Amino acid sequence: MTNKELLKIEHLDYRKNRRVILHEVNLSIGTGHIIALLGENGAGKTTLMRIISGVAKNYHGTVCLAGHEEEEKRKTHLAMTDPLKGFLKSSQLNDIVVFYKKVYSDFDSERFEELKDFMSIDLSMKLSQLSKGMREKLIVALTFSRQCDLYLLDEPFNGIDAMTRKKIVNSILRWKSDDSTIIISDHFVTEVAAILDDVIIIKDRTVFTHVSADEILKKHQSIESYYESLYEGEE
Amino acid sequence: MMQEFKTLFGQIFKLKRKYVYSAIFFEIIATIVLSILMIFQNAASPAQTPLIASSASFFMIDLYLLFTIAKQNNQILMSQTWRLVPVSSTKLFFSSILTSIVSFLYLWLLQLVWGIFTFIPFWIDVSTTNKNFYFSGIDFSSLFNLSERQWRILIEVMIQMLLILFLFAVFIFVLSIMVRTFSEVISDFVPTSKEKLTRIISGIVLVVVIIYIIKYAGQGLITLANTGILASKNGVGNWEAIIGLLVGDVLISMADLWLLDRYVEGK
Repeated sequence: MTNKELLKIEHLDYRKNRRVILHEVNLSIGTGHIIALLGENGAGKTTLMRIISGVAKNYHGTVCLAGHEEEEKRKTHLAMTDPLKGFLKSSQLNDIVVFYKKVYSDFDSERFEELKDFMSIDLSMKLSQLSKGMREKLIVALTFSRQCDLYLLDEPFNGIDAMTRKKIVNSILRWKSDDSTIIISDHFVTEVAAILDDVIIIKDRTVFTHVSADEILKKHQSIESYYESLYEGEE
Repeated sequence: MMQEFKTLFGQIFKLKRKYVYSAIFFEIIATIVLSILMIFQNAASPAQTPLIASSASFFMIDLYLLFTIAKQNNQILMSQTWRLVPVSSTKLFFSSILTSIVSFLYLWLLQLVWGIFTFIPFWIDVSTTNKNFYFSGIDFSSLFNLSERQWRILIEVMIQMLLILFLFAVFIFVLSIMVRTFSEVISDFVPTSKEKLTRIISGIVLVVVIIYIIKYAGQGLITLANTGILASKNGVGNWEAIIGLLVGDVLISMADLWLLDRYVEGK
């Protein structure tokens, strides 16, 4: 784990449909970390990732990744899990891989081959033939096949079985380079608790806390118990 | 590294090429079906039947491709998959529009080949029987006796028509992007409960406003033409339409780019 600053967010505000989604978000993240981005449904985790990746627009404040504030340049330094909605359901997985190879110059074909074998992905299948778990494995494999500074995994464990979850966590450990940072958003941390360096919690439309996993474990039994303690008495 | 325009263009065209092939496939099927129906109904001479059938389906197939590609442009510009690609909104927009134009040119090329193929029976019939080039009630043999001036006018009109078709296709592409992006942006600024309704109303209002502007701009151009600025001996009306469409294409494209760059989010 290194400490060079990779991502800096200052005074970020974002409104949509006349609702404040994020307010006065300030965040600083270094290189080489594995970070959990936690929060309830609708807390703004996905929105924050979409702003970092340059997909969400019309926000106020600054987002600087690897020294770049411009969206196009930020996109060259990050890989975000994409639900692949830009492809036709009849698209063959092979064609999707070709698309990634062509449009992302940092796409590592050898790494994808390894990930594909590790995740048991059959490229002759069509997108419509994939189960939720298979689709998630493909998304993670495509994301990790890029060689970037920052990986944004938006709820990669949503609705998938224990075996697939284990495979995804193992792939994170196996293919993460020392300098790259991974942010994983989720409602739960059970799957990734053991590999986390930091925890960021989004609550009340802002970054409620950004703390190291070691610090949490000094005072609490587990990251889950710490996270749950933040919501005690709210129900 | 940021993506080159060529790569982006290639990938988008690859998607659209499938629709071009399906369009020409539909045209071939439509020609065959129509020809069979016409032969059974004795609607035309057997030699002319394939050519009439392919001509009849030509515009329907072009319209099919026009709206399919317009829909696909919106899907590309609105999807997170494409918006995550390290490229500016401007490059993505122009790639979408240019690939749409190239797809159309490609379809026209394939339609031309198919047209020549369906013309063969008619050509054989005319050349072996020494008949006149009567097709759909018009004597095309008079084309061979045109004077140099008449040929020049004919070619000019054909170029104008091609330009109008081309600019009209671009107009449909940029307008459909405008309607979609504008309604998306407006709906992002209203409460969630009114999002869908706002999207529909804003789309309708925009289409009405644009039609009104086109009508108004057209009248302005006619006034200009009457004062002699645009007047020429031939095809004044066509040049007005060309300039009107060109101005419309440029203005709507600029608005599209502004909305895409500042407000439209990939979903």
